[in-house]
Amino acid sequence: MFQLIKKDTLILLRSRSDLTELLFMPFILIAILGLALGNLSMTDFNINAFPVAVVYEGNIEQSLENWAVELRESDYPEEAVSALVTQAEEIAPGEQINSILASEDIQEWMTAESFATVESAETALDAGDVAGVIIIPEGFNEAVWSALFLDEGDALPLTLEVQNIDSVTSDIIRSVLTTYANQFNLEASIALASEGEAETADQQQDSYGEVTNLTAASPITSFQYYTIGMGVMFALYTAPALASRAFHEKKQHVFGRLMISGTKPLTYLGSKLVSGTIITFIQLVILFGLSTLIFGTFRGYSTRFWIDLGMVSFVFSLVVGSITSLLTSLSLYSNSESSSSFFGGVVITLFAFIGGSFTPVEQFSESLRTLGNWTPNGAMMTSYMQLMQGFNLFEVAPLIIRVAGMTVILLAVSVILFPKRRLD
Amino acid sequence: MLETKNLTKAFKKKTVVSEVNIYLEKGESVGLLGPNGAGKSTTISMISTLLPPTSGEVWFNGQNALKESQGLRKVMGVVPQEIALYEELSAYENMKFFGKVYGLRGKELESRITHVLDLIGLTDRKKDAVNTYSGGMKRRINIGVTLLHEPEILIMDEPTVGIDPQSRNYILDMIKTLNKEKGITVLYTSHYMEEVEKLCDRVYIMDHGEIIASGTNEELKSILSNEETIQIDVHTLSMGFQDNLLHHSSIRKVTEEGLGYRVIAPKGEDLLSEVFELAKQTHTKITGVSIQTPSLEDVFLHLTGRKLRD
Ligand SMILES: Nc1ncnc2c1ncn2[C@@H]1O[C@H](COP(=O)(O)OP(=O)(O)OP(=O)(O)O)[C@@H](O)[C@H]1O
Ligand SMILES: [Mg+2]
Repeated sequence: MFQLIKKDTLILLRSRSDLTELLFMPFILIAILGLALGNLSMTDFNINAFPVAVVYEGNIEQSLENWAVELRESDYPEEAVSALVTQAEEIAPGEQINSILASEDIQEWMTAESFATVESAETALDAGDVAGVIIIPEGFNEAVWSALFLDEGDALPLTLEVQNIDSVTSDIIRSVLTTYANQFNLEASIALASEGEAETADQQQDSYGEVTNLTAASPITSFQYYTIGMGVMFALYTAPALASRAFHEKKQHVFGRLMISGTKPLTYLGSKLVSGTIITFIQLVILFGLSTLIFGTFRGYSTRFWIDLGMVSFVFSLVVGSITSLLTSLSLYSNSESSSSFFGGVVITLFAFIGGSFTPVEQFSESLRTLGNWTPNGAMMTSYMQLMQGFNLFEVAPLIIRVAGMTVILLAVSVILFPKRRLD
Repeated sequence: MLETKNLTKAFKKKTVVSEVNIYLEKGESVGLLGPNGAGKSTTISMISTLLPPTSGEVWFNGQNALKESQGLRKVMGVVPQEIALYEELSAYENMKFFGKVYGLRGKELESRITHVLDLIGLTDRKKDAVNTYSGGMKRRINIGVTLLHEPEILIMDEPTVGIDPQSRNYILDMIKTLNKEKGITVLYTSHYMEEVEKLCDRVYIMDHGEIIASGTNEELKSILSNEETIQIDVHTLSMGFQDNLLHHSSIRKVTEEGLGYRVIAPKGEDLLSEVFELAKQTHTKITGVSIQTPSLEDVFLHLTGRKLRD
C-alpha cells in the first residue's frame, strides 16, 4: 500500500502539467484575483457592473386614468373606484422598479440606462452597448394594481431581452430581476397592510442588506476569499488527475502486473483513496502557506484557528480522496476515461461556481447558496469562511459532518463498482 | 507443470480462443506461434490468471490455478505485449517499485536490481525516465522488471515486436540463456517463426483461436517431409507465369515472395525443367532458383493456405 501511494505521489511530482494544474494555476489565480480586487473586504465585493437598458412605456397619470376606466367598465361602484384609485396613487410600480434598478445595491451588478422606446433600446442591445433590455410595458401599473387590490391576474408582464452575452451574465440579470420582482410584491403587500404608509425604502435596504451581509460578520479580504475559493476548486482536480492515471495503469497492463504480483484489488483502490487524500492535503497546505507567506492572507490568526483549519482541510482532503477512488472505480468499470474527463471538465467548473469559488453566490439567491452547501467544495468553503469569522470547529460541525457523510457514500459506491476480479 | 484444459474465451458472442490445450514441462521452452488476431494474447491472459475464461481450466502443479491463483502468481513472470511500466519513472525506480510490490527489500532488492540491469544491458541508463528510452530499451526493461522476483515460469507475449534486429537478438539470446542455464520454463508468443524456431523446444501453432498443430520443430516440419519448397526468383513478376505454376498438376501452393515465387511441391519430382519451360512460355526471365528446407512459415502455409504475416 505504502509503495503504491509513494509511487502515485512521485509520478504526480514528475508531471509538469499536473503540478501546473494543481499548484501553479490556483496560485496565479489567487494572486490575480486578490490583487485585482485589492484588499477590499468581500462585502464590498464587486464584479464589473454591466449596463442594461430600461424602457418604461407607461406613465403614472395615464395608468391611473386607464385603471379607473377599466374599473368602471367592470361595473365597480363609483365609491369603490375612487377608493381603489386613491390607494393606487400610493403605489407606482413602474416608477418603483425604475428606482430599484437605480438603487445603490443593484448598481453593483448592473447600471440601468433609460431608453424612450423599445426600438432604440434594441439598437443599443444589437450594438452591444447594453447587455440586456428590461421592458416595463404599458399597462404594467394596471396589471400590478389588479393583482394587488383585486387579486386578478398574476404574472408581472415584465420582459427581459438578452443578447450576445454568456449565460452566466444573463442568469445574473434574470435572478436579480426575479429577486426584485418578489421583493416588490412583498413591499407592496407591506405597504398595503400598513394602510399605504410607504416605508418601503428602509425595509428594502434591510432585507437586501441581510442577504449580502450574511457571511460578513467580520470582513473577509479578497485574498482570503480567493485563497480558499481557488484552493477548494483546484483541490478537486487532484481526483481526476489521479484517476486518469489509474485508467492508464489498466490500459498499459501495469494494473495486470500489480495483480499478478499478488496486490489485492481493494488494496489498490485503497491506495487511490489515500493518495488522493494525502496529495490534496499537501496541496492545500502549500497553497494556504504560500498565500500567507506572500500575501499575508492568514497572518495573525491564532494557533487554535490553524488547528481548526487543518482539521477542516483534512476532511476536505478525505472527500477528494473518496472522489479519486470513485473515479478510479468508474474508469476501470467502464473501461474508459470519460468519467474523469467529465468530472474535470464539467463537474468541477459547475461545483466551483455553485460552491462560490469565483463569487459569493449568496448574492444571487439564497437557494443557490443552499445548493452550494451541498457541493463538497461549497460546504467546505462555507466552513472555512465561518472559521475565519471566529466560529469554532464545533459550530461548523454540521457542514463538516455532511461532507464526511458524502465521503462515506462515495467510498461505498466506489467499492461496489470496483471490478472485483474473481481470481484471488 | 502448467497445463490448460479446453481453455475457451468468447467476447460477447465471438469465440476468440477455442478449446485450447497446451502444457509446459519444467525447464521447457515452448512457443505459441500465430498471426495477428489468432488469440495468443487472450490465451496468455487466461493462463496468467488475469482474464477469466468462458470455460476451461488452468492447472499448475496439480492445483486449479483459477481457483488458487496465488501459488502460480508467485512463481510466474509475465511480460505483456505492451510496455507495462511507469514511463515517467526511471528504470531503477520502476524496478524498485515492482520489486517492493513483490516483497523484496533492502540489500537483496538492490543486488537483484543491479544483476537484472546488467542482464538487460541498461546499467548506464538506469537513472533516465523510461519515456526517454528507445523502443528496444523499453522492451528490455519491460522484461527486466519481470525477472526481479526470479520467476520459475516466464510467460512472454511478443516481447520483440517492433524493434531493430540487434535489440531483438539481444533479447532472444537473453531468454535462451535464462532457459538453458537457469532452467526457467518459458512460454514464448510470437508471429515470427524464426524466433520460435531458434528459441523453442516445442511449438504450438495457433490460428483463429484454435491450436492447429503442435510438436517439436522437427515434428512440425515433418508434416512437410514429403514436400519441398522451391524459391524461384524472376526478373519481373508475371501473372501468366504464376497462373501456369498454379495450374501445374504437382504444385501444391504458390505464393509471391519478394521478386519471385515460393512453390511447394512433392519431393522427388523433377519439377525444375518444367518450371523453366513454363517461364519460357510466358516470356518470364528466371534469375535464380533454390530448393529450401521447409520452415515453420511453410508449415503454417501448408496448414492454412495463408502466410503468417502479410
Ligand atoms: N477485450 C476484448 N473484447 C473483444 N474482443 C477482443 C478483446 N480482446 C481481444 N479481442 C479479440 O480477440 C481476437 C484475438 O485477440 P488477441 O489479442 O488474443 O490476438 P493476438 O494473437 O494476441 O494478436 P496479435 O499478434 O496482434 O497480438 C481479436 O480478434 C481481438 O479483436
Ligand atoms: Mg497479442
